Amino acid sequence: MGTTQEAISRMEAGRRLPNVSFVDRYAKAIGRSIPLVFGESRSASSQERRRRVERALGKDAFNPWDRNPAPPEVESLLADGLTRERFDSQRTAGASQR
Amino acid sequence: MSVSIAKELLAQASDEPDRFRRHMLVAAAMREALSHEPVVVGGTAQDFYTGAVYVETDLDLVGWVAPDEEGLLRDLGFTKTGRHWFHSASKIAVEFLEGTIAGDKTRILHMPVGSGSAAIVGVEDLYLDRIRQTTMYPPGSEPTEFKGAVAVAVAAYEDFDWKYVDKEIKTTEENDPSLGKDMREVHNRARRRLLFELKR
Repeated sequence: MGTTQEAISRMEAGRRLPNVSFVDRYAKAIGRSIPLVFGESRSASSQERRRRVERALGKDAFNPWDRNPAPPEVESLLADGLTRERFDSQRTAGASQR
Repeated sequence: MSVSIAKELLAQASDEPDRFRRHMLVAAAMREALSHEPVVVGGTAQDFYTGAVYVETDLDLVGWVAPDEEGLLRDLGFTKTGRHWFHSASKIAVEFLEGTIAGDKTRILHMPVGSGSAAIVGVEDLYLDRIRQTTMYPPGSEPTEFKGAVAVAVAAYEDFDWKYVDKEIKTTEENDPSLGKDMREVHNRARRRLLFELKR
């Protein structure tokens, strides 16, 4: 394909960013088509976003009870079982891990 | 705008076990019920962009309830309790933050949910709001608002238009130098946290 084995190895290892012409010749050489996609959203999934935040700030960074919830907010939290005790114990567990 | 779709969305919210999705359904119902478009900001918007780690206590909407719309909200099952409109069947408390959305309205997202859709503040304007709120605390402190800015940046940095963020802070520096300087300091701190996370 008119290039060196070293250049191909560098590209395969991700150490060289090939141009489109190189990728075209490489695809022909290996006998397979290589789809290239531009402009597609690179947004992280919801789970990935959550993982990133927990890694950066810990699992106990946000405690709704720290925000002095008003009575309707308290009713809303308790309806989902989000009790003050639950968050306090999470914080204690987080602190002991650190 | 359709009251029947609003009723349908509230019925869906009342049966929905997921707390974040329940908030979104109520936001979509409000969009159908009111004559203007309420925009989701605050904790629910933060949960939208971070994968629901914030645990919102209420649904903050930029918008208002016109006097002749209060009866409609009551018919839909809301009761006015202090600053909140509480929907007892879904257990969601809604607070209207009067005024208009700060920032670029073209960045508002419309997310389909149930049989409607909710309007959500753009990620950059949510970040700028968290940065602005942090300036009310002593320099160098890390209140919930600062953690919110870091959370949004870390979770969704690929989606950010950082040039827009910089431009907005520059505009504030020109119009309100004291606030602009503080916002720049908080923004730089949040960016350092983001870069640290990206290198980890």
